[in-house]
Amino acid sequence: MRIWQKIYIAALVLFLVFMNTGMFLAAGLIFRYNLEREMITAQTECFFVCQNLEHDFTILKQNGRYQEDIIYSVARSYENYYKQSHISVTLTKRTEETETIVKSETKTGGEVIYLTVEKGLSEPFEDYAVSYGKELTELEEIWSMIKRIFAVISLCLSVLLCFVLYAFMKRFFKPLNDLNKGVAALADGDYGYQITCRGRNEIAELSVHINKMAETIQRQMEALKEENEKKQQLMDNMAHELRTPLTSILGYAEYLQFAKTTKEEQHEALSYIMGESRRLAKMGEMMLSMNLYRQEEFFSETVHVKKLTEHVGKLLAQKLEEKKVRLSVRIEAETFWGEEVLLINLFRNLIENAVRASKEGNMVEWTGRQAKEEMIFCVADHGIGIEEEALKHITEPFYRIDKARSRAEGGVGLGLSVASLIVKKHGGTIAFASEKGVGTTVTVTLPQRNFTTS
Amino acid sequence: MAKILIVEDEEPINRLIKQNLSLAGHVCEQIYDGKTARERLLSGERYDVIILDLMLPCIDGFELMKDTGEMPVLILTARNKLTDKLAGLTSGAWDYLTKPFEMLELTARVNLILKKTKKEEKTFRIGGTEIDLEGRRVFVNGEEKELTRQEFELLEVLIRNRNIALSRDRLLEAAWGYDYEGDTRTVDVHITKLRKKLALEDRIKTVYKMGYRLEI
Repeated sequence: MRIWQKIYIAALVLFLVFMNTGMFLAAGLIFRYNLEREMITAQTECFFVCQNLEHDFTILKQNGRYQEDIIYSVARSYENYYKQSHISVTLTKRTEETETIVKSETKTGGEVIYLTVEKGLSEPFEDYAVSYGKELTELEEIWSMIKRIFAVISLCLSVLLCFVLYAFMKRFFKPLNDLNKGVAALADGDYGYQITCRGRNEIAELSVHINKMAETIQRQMEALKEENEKKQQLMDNMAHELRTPLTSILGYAEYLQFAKTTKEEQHEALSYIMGESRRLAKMGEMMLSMNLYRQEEFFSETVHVKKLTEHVGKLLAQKLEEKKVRLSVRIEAETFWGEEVLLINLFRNLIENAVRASKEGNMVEWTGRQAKEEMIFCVADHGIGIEEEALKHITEPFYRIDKARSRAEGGVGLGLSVASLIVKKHGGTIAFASEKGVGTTVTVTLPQRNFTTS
Repeated sequence: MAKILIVEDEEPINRLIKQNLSLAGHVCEQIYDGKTARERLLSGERYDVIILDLMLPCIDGFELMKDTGEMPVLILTARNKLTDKLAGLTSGAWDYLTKPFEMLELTARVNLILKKTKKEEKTFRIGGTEIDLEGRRVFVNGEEKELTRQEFELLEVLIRNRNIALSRDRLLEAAWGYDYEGDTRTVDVHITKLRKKLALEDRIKTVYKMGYRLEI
């Protein structure tokens, strides 16, 4: 059973009980009041009869006719007089039980209420008493009428109450129903559903909170979805990057196996197979290292600038020579904090990119300086530059600005992803600034704050 | 001899496709990016088949579909999700092939498209032997030779896949059909007959451990 139904029934029952009890009591009181009034009237009348009788008896006594039969006949005249008003008045011999003063009682015999008053006469006629009796038919009628009226009123009020209470309940519980509907919609995944509850009551407050909650959930779901899409995109890209070399390898192998080929063609096919295999291997290696960087604990140590630059220089010597690009190194620090192996990889990647972008005879500058609590490194080239639109995507895995050239030089599209991962691992930032045709500057900031004390 | 446009940005793959299609005697034009492809397509040049990669620099393959007009397109892509396939096929492409793919499959699909558009070769000449593929007749030095139905099927398969070695199983499958339950030696027998009847002893080569290849 619904709460509103329970409250409805409880309220209805309670109200009806109290109302009817109240009405019953009120009716009783009215009845009692009427009865008392009747009683007083009866007593007054009885007293009046007594007085008259006493008066009559005194006269009789003075006339010397105070005899029993005359007394009774006098009394009978009263009796006859009152009979007209359906009241019985009788003179009786006073018994032991007859009180001197007044004794009144009502008897409810069947449907009729009977009122009797007995009063003894005062001296010197104390041997006699008057018994006054009256049937309260009128009161009885009033009583039953009151009962009827009350029953009708009670019934009307009850019916009215049924409806009014129902209407109120519906009204009071409407916000709760709305809320319920809204939460149900929420439960079904409709996070855009807005619950409308006006007013300032608890339910309205609750609905506001629930709306807020739904919004939060929706926002987070969207963020999650976006994240998921990004991951999916990465997976798609990866699949593409894997399939492409595989297609070449498979295709050229097939070609060698099935087609009639010249020596030259065979050589060419084999070099494609080898080149693409190398690319696959490099890609696998890089992705593995990315994964390792992500999982491995960061291990910070003192990095000697001289050692670092020499190492990177050695790794790049051949590439620099091939392209006839000079590398100028100017780092104004001797040591700093970081993880050497990762930093070698980082600067090698950045400088390699710079060399790739450079034209023959260009200079690539690698500078570094100590700022307040960080090391700031720059790798700048005077090469072809990067378009603004491309800058945004530059650290995304497998994003390449010039695919054909990147491939030709053995790139797999992961260099800057790895670089940004390494910087992130150091808690630093990496920023790219570029102008088409002028050159590109990569700025890497590595915080030193956490290490200075250790 | 059909004219085929290859639009594929991966140089090794583009080259591979060209080599394979050239073996079958097709003339190929290679394009490596979307922009050039659009220019070429809008220049009014007609191609019998267009092989189109979807992920292209500048303009992607779906965009290029609008410029291909009536020309049959075979989409080539690394995307292999069903939604991509459906999108590819509903964009008006004739066929869809996902990477990595086998070259034999690519040539087979290209041949199928040519067959549908009736652009396939109708006659084929090798040395003194002339083959009327449409009329299913064979002439050696002007003299007509009788071939059985099965021999002609086999010869046609060899011609369509010339310069490519086909295994006995594949020949059986292509010339006799999937449900043929014959021995692979049936192939050997028919090859011997073909060589002899058409004087193709030095053209139909036995490739060690592989099968047979019609060389031109």
